[in-house]
Amino acid sequence: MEIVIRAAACAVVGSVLALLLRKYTPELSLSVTVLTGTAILWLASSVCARIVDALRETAEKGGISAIYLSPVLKCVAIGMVSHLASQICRDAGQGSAASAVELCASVCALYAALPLIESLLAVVERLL
Amino acid sequence: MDVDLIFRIAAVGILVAVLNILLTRSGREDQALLTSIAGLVVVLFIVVQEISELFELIRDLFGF
Repeated sequence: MEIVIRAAACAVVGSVLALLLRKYTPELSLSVTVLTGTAILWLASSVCARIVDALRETAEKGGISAIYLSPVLKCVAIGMVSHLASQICRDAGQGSAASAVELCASVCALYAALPLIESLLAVVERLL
Repeated sequence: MDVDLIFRIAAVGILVAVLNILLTRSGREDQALLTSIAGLVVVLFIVVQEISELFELIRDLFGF
């Protein structure tokens, strides 16, 4: 709860400051936006640490190997980073850079999920 | 990660904007441009450091 309040305060203050700077120095206004996003994602990551630990523990108890869990976590990380970057690019008015980052992120997520797909195919092969 | 950094960046931005207006009004457009570039470099220095720290954190967290 405390983290949500901090994130909300951070977002509102950052937006107001960015709005203040937009007229005179647009590039510094964008920097304020970037830093606001970074700060909020930092807060979210501190919560994520506990969630990831809990997931790992549950997987261990259930006898699921880390090979199956780590691609999922990697995809989450790729999504977080690329979403931040593409939204910043959109704010700067660079839609093409934003879509390029998103495309790269989807390719990388597919690459991260490749072991999962391979193991699924192996199971299907064994069944046939 | 310090939330104070947002205020620091905004302070740099306001300072650069005021200097920019003063220098432009007194007819020194070239110095105004240099001031805004210097401000941008200082701010980018801070922002890039913070972003790299965040990405390191995410990399550690999700086991890359």
